[in-house]
Amino acid sequence: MTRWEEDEFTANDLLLDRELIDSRGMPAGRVDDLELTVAGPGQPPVLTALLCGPTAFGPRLGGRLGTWWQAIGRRLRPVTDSYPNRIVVELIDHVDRLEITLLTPRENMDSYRFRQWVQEKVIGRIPGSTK
Amino acid sequence: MSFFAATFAAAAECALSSGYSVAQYMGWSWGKRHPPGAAARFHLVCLASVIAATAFTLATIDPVTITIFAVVLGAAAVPLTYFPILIVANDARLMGERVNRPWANAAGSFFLTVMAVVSLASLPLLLLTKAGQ
Repeated sequence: MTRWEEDEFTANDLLLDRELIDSRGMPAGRVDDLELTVAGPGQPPVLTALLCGPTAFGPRLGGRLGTWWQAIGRRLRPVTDSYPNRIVVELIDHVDRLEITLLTPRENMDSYRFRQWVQEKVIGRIPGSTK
Repeated sequence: MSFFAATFAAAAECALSSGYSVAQYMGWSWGKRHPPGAAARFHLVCLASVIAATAFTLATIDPVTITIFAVVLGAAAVPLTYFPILIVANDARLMGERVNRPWANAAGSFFLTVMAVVSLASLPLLLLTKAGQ
């Protein structure tokens, strides 16, 4: 169950642009947008996931810059999957003013793929990169 | 010798500072305490910025002109980084008991005014004096 530091707050206060920390204390990205789901007609929207990455941030930014940002993000992703990286709300451990801690190591997150790619294809090939 | 030392230090500092800003903004692992393999994207940004800067220097633009413009634009941007820090330092929910005291805010506001004047004056002065020529 997610622990919230405060009972009442706006998305800007505690969620948007906050740093994500994984279950081992490592940085795991930032919250770029929120996924709200309306369960049925007349019901209030419920937070179901945090969205990460350029494909989430681009639309939030809007305008031409946002479109470019989204286009860059889309080219860095698998062709078949254009929806932004999701972190379902069940994986959130604790939310406070400084950061959002998660219940999973960052290796399990979709946003880890870019890091993995850079590590394997670029940095890992430079001699001495593991020292 | 000293020319080499100054250039080398500046290149290292600029590369690292690009890496720090991008990596912290994006929420990546960063810093020289990690081996490059453990902070891959941070080191990629550092490397890419050195390569980009080298390419820029080789484009036969006068380095002194670039320096003058960079320093003036840097001064013009200072209030933009200073003001958010002043706001955060006044947020008791973030800072707890270390929140800014009135005298610190008075000093902070005074220096913010100085910086705002400098930054507003810098661009017109740069254009009027044709970068000090």
